[in-house]
Amino acid sequence: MVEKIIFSLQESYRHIIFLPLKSSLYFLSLLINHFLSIICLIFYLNLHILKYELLYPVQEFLYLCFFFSLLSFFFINTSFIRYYLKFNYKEIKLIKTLEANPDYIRQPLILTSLFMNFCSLLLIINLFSILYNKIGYPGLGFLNLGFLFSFLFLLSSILLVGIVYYLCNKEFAGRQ
Amino acid sequence: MIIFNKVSKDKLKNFSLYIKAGELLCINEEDQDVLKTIFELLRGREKPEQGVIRYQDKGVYSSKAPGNFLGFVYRENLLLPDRSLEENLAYIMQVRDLEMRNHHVMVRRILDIVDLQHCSNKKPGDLLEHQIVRANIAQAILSYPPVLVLEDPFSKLDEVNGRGIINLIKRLNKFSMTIVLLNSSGKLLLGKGVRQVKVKEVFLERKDYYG
Repeated sequence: MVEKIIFSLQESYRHIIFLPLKSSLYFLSLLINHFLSIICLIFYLNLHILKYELLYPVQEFLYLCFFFSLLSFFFINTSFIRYYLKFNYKEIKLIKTLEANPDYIRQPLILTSLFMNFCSLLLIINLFSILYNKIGYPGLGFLNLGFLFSFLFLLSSILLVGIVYYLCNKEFAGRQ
Repeated sequence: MIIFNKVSKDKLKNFSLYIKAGELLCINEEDQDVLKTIFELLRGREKPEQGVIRYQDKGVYSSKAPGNFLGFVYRENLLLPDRSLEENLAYIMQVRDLEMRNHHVMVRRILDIVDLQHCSNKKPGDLLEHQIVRANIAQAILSYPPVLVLEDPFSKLDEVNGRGIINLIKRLNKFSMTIVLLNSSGKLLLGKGVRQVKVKEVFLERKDYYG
Protein backbone atom coordinates (compact mmCIF):
# COMPACT_ATOMS: atom_id res chain seq x y z
CA MET A 1 0.00 0.00 0.00
CA VAL A 2 2.72 2.46 1.04
CA GLU A 3 4.73 1.52 -2.06
CA LYS A 4 1.72 2.21 -4.27
CA ILE A 5 1.24 5.65 -2.72
CA ILE A 6 4.94 6.46 -3.14
CA PHE A 7 4.77 5.22 -6.73
CA SER A 8 1.73 7.42 -7.49
CA LEU A 9 3.46 10.42 -5.89
CA GLN A 10 6.62 9.81 -7.89
CA GLU A 11 4.71 9.46 -11.15
CA SER A 12 2.60 12.56 -10.58
CA TYR A 13 5.76 14.47 -9.63
CA ARG A 14 7.20 13.24 -12.93
CA HIS A 15 4.16 14.59 -14.83
CA ILE A 16 4.60 18.02 -13.35
CA ILE A 17 8.39 18.18 -13.63
CA PHE A 18 8.76 16.80 -17.16
CA LEU A 19 5.96 18.96 -18.56
CA PRO A 20 6.64 22.30 -16.86
CA LEU A 21 5.04 24.45 -19.58
CA LYS A 22 1.87 22.36 -19.83
CA SER A 23 1.60 22.07 -16.05
CA SER A 24 1.92 25.81 -15.54
CA LEU A 25 -0.64 26.43 -18.29
CA TYR A 26 -2.98 23.94 -16.63
CA PHE A 27 -2.44 25.64 -13.29
CA LEU A 28 -3.06 29.08 -14.78
CA SER A 29 -6.24 28.07 -16.57
CA LEU A 30 -7.61 26.46 -13.40
CA LEU A 31 -6.67 29.60 -11.49
CA ILE A 32 -8.56 31.85 -13.90
CA ASN A 33 -11.50 29.47 -13.90
CA HIS A 34 -11.80 29.44 -10.11
CA PHE A 35 -11.27 33.20 -9.93
CA LEU A 36 -14.08 33.92 -12.38
CA SER A 37 -16.50 31.52 -10.72
CA ILE A 38 -15.89 33.11 -7.27
CA ILE A 39 -16.32 36.61 -8.73
CA CYS A 40 -19.62 35.44 -10.21
CA LEU A 41 -20.62 34.08 -6.81
CA ILE A 42 -19.84 37.42 -5.14
CA PHE A 43 -21.99 39.24 -7.67
CA TYR A 44 -24.74 36.73 -7.11
CA LEU A 45 -24.58 37.23 -3.34
CA ASN A 46 -24.71 40.99 -3.77
CA LEU A 47 -27.76 40.75 -5.93
CA HIS A 48 -29.53 38.01 -4.09
CA ILE A 49 -28.89 38.76 -0.42
CA LEU A 50 -28.55 42.53 -0.48
CA LYS A 51 -31.52 42.63 -2.87
CA TYR A 52 -30.19 45.19 -5.31
CA GLU A 53 -32.82 45.98 -7.82
CA LEU A 54 -31.55 46.18 -11.35
CA LEU A 55 -33.36 46.78 -14.57
CA TYR A 56 -31.38 44.20 -16.48
CA PRO A 57 -31.77 40.39 -16.07
CA VAL A 58 -28.38 40.02 -14.36
CA GLN A 59 -29.35 36.94 -12.35
CA GLU A 60 -30.03 34.92 -15.48
CA PHE A 61 -26.70 36.08 -16.84
CA LEU A 62 -24.97 34.91 -13.65
CA TYR A 63 -26.60 31.47 -13.87
CA LEU A 64 -25.25 31.28 -17.38
CA CYS A 65 -21.81 32.29 -16.07
CA PHE A 66 -21.91 29.48 -13.48
CA PHE A 67 -22.84 27.01 -16.16
CA PHE A 68 -20.03 28.16 -18.45
CA SER A 69 -17.55 28.11 -15.60
CA LEU A 70 -18.45 24.46 -14.93
CA LEU A 71 -18.23 23.68 -18.63
CA SER A 72 -14.84 25.39 -18.98
CA PHE A 73 -13.57 23.51 -15.88
CA PHE A 74 -14.62 20.28 -17.55
CA PHE A 75 -12.94 21.12 -20.87
CA ILE A 76 -9.72 22.45 -19.33
CA ASN A 77 -9.31 19.27 -17.33
CA THR A 78 -10.23 16.95 -20.18
CA SER A 79 -7.72 18.52 -22.56
CA PHE A 80 -4.85 18.62 -20.07
CA ILE A 81 -5.43 15.13 -18.67
CA ARG A 82 -5.55 13.85 -22.24
CA TYR A 83 -2.19 15.49 -22.79
CA TYR A 84 -0.75 13.80 -19.69
CA LEU A 85 -2.09 10.49 -21.03
CA LYS A 86 -0.38 11.10 -24.37
CA PHE A 87 2.82 11.88 -22.50
CA ASN A 88 2.46 8.48 -20.82
CA TYR A 89 1.80 6.44 -23.98
CA LYS A 90 4.90 4.25 -23.48
CA GLU A 91 3.78 3.38 -19.97
CA ILE A 92 0.28 2.64 -21.27
CA LYS A 93 1.75 0.34 -23.91
CA LEU A 94 3.86 -1.42 -21.29
CA ILE A 95 0.91 -1.87 -18.95
CA LYS A 96 -1.23 -3.23 -21.79
CA THR A 97 1.48 -5.66 -22.90
CA LEU A 98 2.09 -6.92 -19.38
CA GLU A 99 -1.68 -6.95 -18.73
CA ALA A 100 -1.08 -5.04 -15.53
CA ASN A 101 -3.56 -3.02 -13.53
CA PRO A 102 -4.51 0.27 -15.30
CA ASP A 103 -4.65 1.90 -11.87
CA TYR A 104 -0.91 2.43 -12.21
CA ILE A 105 -1.74 5.02 -14.88
CA ARG A 106 -4.99 6.28 -13.36
CA GLN A 107 -3.88 6.98 -9.82
CA PRO A 108 -0.90 9.25 -10.69
CA LEU A 109 -3.17 11.15 -13.10
CA ILE A 110 -5.84 11.64 -10.45
CA LEU A 111 -3.17 12.75 -8.01
CA THR A 112 -1.67 15.22 -10.50
CA SER A 113 -5.00 16.82 -11.35
CA LEU A 114 -6.11 16.94 -7.71
CA PHE A 115 -2.82 18.52 -6.70
CA MET A 116 -3.15 21.16 -9.42
CA ASN A 117 -6.74 21.83 -8.50
CA PHE A 118 -5.98 22.02 -4.79
CA CYS A 119 -3.09 24.44 -5.31
CA SER A 120 -5.03 26.75 -7.62
CA LEU A 121 -8.05 26.74 -5.31
CA LEU A 122 -5.89 27.41 -2.26
CA LEU A 123 -4.21 30.34 -4.00
CA ILE A 124 -7.52 31.86 -5.07
CA ILE A 125 -9.12 31.43 -1.65
CA ASN A 126 -6.09 33.07 -0.02
CA LEU A 127 -6.30 35.91 -2.52
CA PHE A 128 -9.93 36.44 -1.65
CA SER A 129 -9.24 36.34 2.07
CA ILE A 130 -6.71 39.16 1.54
CA LEU A 131 -9.38 41.03 -0.43
CA TYR A 132 -11.83 40.30 2.37
CA ASN A 133 -9.56 42.04 4.87
CA LYS A 134 -8.60 44.96 2.69
CA ILE A 135 -11.77 45.86 0.82
CA GLY A 136 -15.07 46.36 2.53
CA TYR A 137 -17.02 45.04 -0.41
CA PRO A 138 -20.47 44.00 0.90
CA GLY A 139 -20.69 40.72 -1.03
CA LEU A 140 -17.51 39.42 0.59
CA GLY A 141 -19.17 39.62 3.99
CA PHE A 142 -21.49 36.76 3.02
CA LEU A 143 -18.74 34.62 1.62
CA ASN A 144 -17.75 31.72 3.88
CA LEU A 145 -14.32 31.01 2.44
CA GLY A 146 -13.73 27.78 4.34
CA PHE A 147 -17.05 26.34 3.25
CA LEU A 148 -16.52 27.56 -0.32
CA PHE A 149 -13.08 25.94 -0.46
CA SER A 150 -14.41 22.60 0.82
CA PHE A 151 -17.42 22.67 -1.48
CA LEU A 152 -15.47 23.58 -4.61
CA PHE A 153 -12.71 21.08 -3.83
CA LEU A 154 -15.22 18.29 -3.28
CA LEU A 155 -17.13 19.11 -6.45
CA SER A 156 -14.00 19.42 -8.57
CA SER A 157 -12.53 16.20 -7.09
CA ILE A 158 -15.63 14.24 -8.08
CA LEU A 159 -15.51 15.74 -11.57
CA LEU A 160 -11.78 15.08 -11.94
CA VAL A 161 -11.99 11.46 -10.85
CA GLY A 162 -14.84 10.99 -13.33
CA ILE A 163 -12.86 12.61 -16.15
CA VAL A 164 -9.73 10.54 -15.45
CA TYR A 165 -11.72 7.31 -15.26
CA TYR A 166 -13.55 8.11 -18.49
CA LEU A 167 -10.38 9.02 -20.41
CA CYS A 168 -8.37 6.08 -19.07
CA ASN A 169 -11.13 3.60 -19.88
CA LYS A 170 -11.33 5.05 -23.37
CA GLU A 171 -7.56 4.82 -23.77
CA PHE A 172 -7.31 1.25 -22.49
CA ALA A 173 -10.35 0.04 -24.40
CA GLY A 174 -9.40 1.75 -27.67
CA ARG A 175 -6.01 0.10 -28.17
CA GLN A 176 -6.83 -3.45 -27.24
CA MET B 1 4.56 -29.24 -18.34
CA ILE B 2 2.71 -27.67 -21.28
CA ILE B 3 0.64 -29.75 -23.70
CA PHE B 4 -0.65 -28.59 -27.05
CA ASN B 5 -3.30 -31.09 -28.07
CA LYS B 6 -4.41 -30.76 -31.72
CA VAL B 7 -4.50 -27.01 -31.48
CA SER B 8 -5.74 -25.06 -34.49
CA LYS B 9 -5.74 -21.31 -34.81
CA ASP B 10 -5.43 -19.28 -38.03
CA LYS B 11 -2.38 -20.68 -39.91
CA LEU B 12 -1.55 -23.13 -37.14
CA LYS B 13 -3.30 -26.41 -37.88
CA ASN B 14 -3.61 -29.50 -35.70
CA PHE B 15 -0.53 -28.62 -33.63
CA SER B 16 0.39 -31.12 -30.93
CA LEU B 17 3.42 -30.82 -28.69
CA TYR B 18 4.50 -31.82 -25.21
CA ILE B 19 6.93 -29.48 -23.48
CA LYS B 20 8.70 -31.26 -20.64
CA ALA B 21 9.75 -29.60 -17.41
CA GLY B 22 13.30 -28.26 -17.47
CA GLU B 23 13.89 -28.69 -21.19
CA LEU B 24 15.17 -26.18 -23.69
CA LEU B 25 12.87 -26.27 -26.67
CA CYS B 26 13.25 -24.34 -29.88
CA ILE B 27 10.25 -24.10 -32.20
CA ASN B 28 11.51 -23.21 -35.67
CA GLU B 29 9.18 -21.60 -38.15
CA GLU B 30 9.94 -19.09 -40.87
CA ASP B 31 6.41 -17.73 -40.92
CA GLN B 32 6.33 -15.12 -38.16
CA ASP B 33 2.53 -15.13 -38.06
CA VAL B 34 2.56 -18.75 -36.89
CA LEU B 35 5.09 -17.91 -34.16
CA LYS B 36 2.97 -14.92 -33.13
CA THR B 37 -0.07 -17.20 -32.90
CA ILE B 38 1.78 -19.70 -30.69
CA PHE B 39 3.05 -16.84 -28.52
CA GLU B 40 -0.41 -15.33 -28.13
CA LEU B 41 -1.90 -18.76 -27.39
CA LEU B 42 0.66 -19.28 -24.63
CA ARG B 43 -0.03 -15.82 -23.28
CA GLY B 44 -3.71 -16.68 -23.14
CA ARG B 45 -4.73 -13.62 -25.14
CA GLU B 46 -6.06 -15.82 -27.91
CA LYS B 47 -7.96 -19.04 -27.62
CA PRO B 48 -7.57 -22.03 -29.94
CA GLU B 49 -10.32 -22.59 -32.47
CA GLN B 50 -9.87 -26.32 -31.95
CA GLY B 51 -7.96 -28.42 -29.45
CA VAL B 52 -6.71 -27.54 -25.98
CA ILE B 53 -3.59 -26.25 -24.27
CA ARG B 54 -2.92 -27.63 -20.81
CA TYR B 55 -0.46 -26.44 -18.21
CA GLN B 56 0.87 -28.66 -15.47
CA ASP B 57 1.93 -26.98 -12.27
CA LYS B 58 2.60 -28.88 -9.02
CA GLY B 59 1.02 -32.03 -10.45
CA VAL B 60 -2.23 -30.34 -11.42
CA TYR B 61 -3.30 -29.80 -15.03
CA SER B 62 -5.30 -26.72 -15.89
CA SER B 63 -6.44 -25.09 -19.12
CA LYS B 64 -5.29 -21.69 -17.88
CA ALA B 65 -1.70 -20.86 -16.98
CA PRO B 66 -1.33 -20.32 -13.23
CA GLY B 67 -0.13 -16.89 -12.11
CA ASN B 68 3.63 -16.41 -12.39
CA PHE B 69 3.96 -19.70 -14.29
CA LEU B 70 5.10 -18.16 -17.56
CA GLY B 71 7.55 -15.36 -18.24
CA PHE B 72 7.46 -13.69 -21.66
CA VAL B 73 10.21 -12.02 -23.64
CA TYR B 74 8.54 -9.84 -26.27
CA ARG B 75 9.94 -9.10 -29.69
CA GLU B 76 9.42 -5.35 -29.36
CA ASN B 77 11.31 -3.31 -26.83
CA LEU B 78 9.19 -2.62 -23.77
CA LEU B 79 11.63 -0.42 -21.91
CA LEU B 80 10.68 3.19 -21.22
CA PRO B 81 13.09 5.56 -22.96
CA ASP B 82 13.26 8.25 -20.29
CA ARG B 83 14.27 5.96 -17.42
CA SER B 84 17.47 4.09 -16.69
CA LEU B 85 17.55 0.30 -16.94
CA GLU B 86 17.34 -0.09 -13.17
CA GLU B 87 14.39 2.32 -12.97
CA ASN B 88 12.70 0.48 -15.83
CA LEU B 89 12.96 -2.85 -14.03
CA ALA B 90 11.75 -1.28 -10.78
CA TYR B 91 8.77 0.20 -12.67
CA ILE B 92 7.95 -3.20 -14.21
CA MET B 93 8.22 -4.85 -10.79
CA GLN B 94 5.79 -2.29 -9.43
CA VAL B 95 3.17 -2.64 -12.19
CA ARG B 96 3.39 -6.44 -12.04
CA ASP B 97 2.63 -6.24 -8.31
CA LEU B 98 5.84 -8.01 -7.34
CA GLU B 99 7.32 -7.69 -3.89
CA MET B 100 9.05 -4.31 -3.82
CA ARG B 101 10.94 -4.80 -0.57
CA ASN B 102 14.68 -4.77 -1.34
CA HIS B 103 13.88 -4.24 -5.01
CA HIS B 104 17.27 -2.59 -5.61
CA VAL B 105 19.02 -5.80 -4.55
CA MET B 106 16.66 -7.94 -6.65
CA VAL B 107 17.09 -5.78 -9.75
CA ARG B 108 20.88 -5.85 -9.40
CA ARG B 109 20.80 -9.63 -8.99
CA ILE B 110 18.73 -10.01 -12.17
CA LEU B 111 21.01 -7.61 -14.05
CA ASP B 112 23.95 -9.68 -12.87
CA ILE B 113 22.32 -12.84 -14.28
CA VAL B 114 21.85 -11.25 -17.71
CA ASP B 115 25.32 -9.61 -17.62
CA LEU B 116 24.02 -6.04 -17.63
CA GLN B 117 25.11 -4.80 -14.24
CA HIS B 118 27.48 -2.29 -15.83
CA CYS B 119 24.52 -0.81 -17.80
CA SER B 120 22.18 -0.31 -14.83
CA ASN B 121 22.30 3.48 -15.11
CA LYS B 122 22.08 3.59 -18.88
CA LYS B 123 18.88 4.52 -20.68
CA PRO B 124 17.47 2.18 -23.38
CA GLY B 125 18.58 4.60 -26.11
CA ASP B 126 22.22 4.09 -25.04
CA LEU B 127 22.01 0.29 -25.09
CA LEU B 128 23.09 -1.95 -27.96
CA GLU B 129 20.59 -4.26 -29.64
CA HIS B 130 21.76 -7.41 -27.81
CA GLN B 131 21.72 -5.50 -24.52
CA ILE B 132 18.09 -4.58 -25.17
CA VAL B 133 17.29 -8.27 -25.73
CA ARG B 134 19.08 -9.08 -22.45
CA ALA B 135 17.13 -6.31 -20.70
CA ASN B 136 13.88 -7.75 -22.05
CA ILE B 137 14.91 -11.17 -20.74
CA ALA B 138 15.64 -9.48 -17.40
CA GLN B 139 12.11 -8.03 -17.21
CA ALA B 140 10.68 -11.50 -17.93
CA ILE B 141 12.65 -13.27 -15.19
CA LEU B 142 12.00 -10.67 -12.49
CA SER B 143 9.54 -13.03 -10.83
CA TYR B 144 11.65 -16.17 -11.50
CA PRO B 145 8.95 -17.98 -13.55
CA PRO B 146 9.33 -21.77 -14.10
CA VAL B 147 8.76 -21.35 -17.86
CA LEU B 148 10.27 -18.67 -20.06
CA VAL B 149 8.86 -18.05 -23.54
CA LEU B 150 10.97 -15.99 -25.94
CA GLU B 151 9.38 -14.50 -29.03
CA ASP B 152 11.96 -14.50 -31.78
CA PRO B 153 14.82 -12.81 -29.87
CA PHE B 154 17.42 -13.32 -32.62
CA SER B 155 15.62 -11.53 -35.46
CA LYS B 156 17.63 -8.29 -35.07
CA LEU B 157 20.92 -9.80 -33.88
CA ASP B 158 24.07 -10.80 -35.72
CA GLU B 159 25.62 -14.26 -35.23
CA VAL B 160 28.09 -13.31 -32.48
CA ASN B 161 25.53 -11.52 -30.33
CA GLY B 162 22.98 -14.25 -31.06
CA ARG B 163 25.44 -16.79 -29.70
CA GLY B 164 25.80 -14.70 -26.53
CA ILE B 165 22.02 -14.74 -26.06
CA ILE B 166 21.98 -18.54 -26.62
CA ASN B 167 24.60 -18.93 -23.88
CA LEU B 168 22.48 -16.78 -21.57
CA ILE B 169 19.39 -18.90 -22.34
CA LYS B 170 21.35 -22.10 -21.69
CA ARG B 171 22.55 -20.67 -18.37
CA LEU B 172 18.94 -19.88 -17.41
CA ASN B 173 17.98 -23.41 -18.41
CA LYS B 174 20.63 -24.76 -16.02
CA PHE B 175 18.74 -22.97 -13.20
CA SER B 176 15.98 -25.54 -14.06
CA MET B 177 13.97 -22.95 -15.98
CA THR B 178 12.01 -24.43 -18.90
CA ILE B 179 12.74 -22.42 -22.03
CA VAL B 180 10.46 -22.22 -25.06
CA LEU B 181 12.25 -20.43 -27.87
CA LEU B 182 10.20 -19.30 -30.84
CA ASN B 183 12.67 -18.82 -33.65
CA SER B 184 12.24 -17.56 -37.21
CA SER B 185 15.91 -17.21 -38.21
CA GLY B 186 17.10 -20.36 -39.99
CA LYS B 187 20.88 -20.02 -39.61
CA LEU B 188 21.10 -20.55 -35.89
CA LEU B 189 23.44 -23.03 -34.25
CA LEU B 190 21.88 -23.90 -30.94
CA GLY B 191 24.26 -26.74 -30.13
CA LYS B 192 23.63 -29.76 -27.92
CA GLY B 193 20.91 -30.10 -25.34
CA VAL B 194 18.34 -28.18 -27.34
CA ARG B 195 15.28 -29.96 -28.68
CA GLN B 196 14.41 -28.42 -32.00
CA VAL B 197 11.02 -28.87 -33.60
CA LYS B 198 9.46 -27.49 -36.72
CA VAL B 199 5.80 -26.60 -36.69
CA LYS B 200 5.16 -28.38 -40.00
CA GLU B 201 6.92 -31.57 -38.85
CA VAL B 202 4.97 -31.64 -35.64
CA PHE B 203 1.81 -31.12 -37.64
CA LEU B 204 2.56 -33.92 -40.13
CA GLU B 205 4.11 -36.61 -37.95
CA ARG B 206 3.12 -35.57 -34.45
CA LYS B 207 6.29 -37.24 -33.22
CA ASP B 208 6.75 -34.88 -30.28
CA TYR B 209 3.29 -35.34 -28.89
CA TYR B 210 3.52 -36.81 -25.38
CA GLY B 211 7.30 -37.17 -25.77
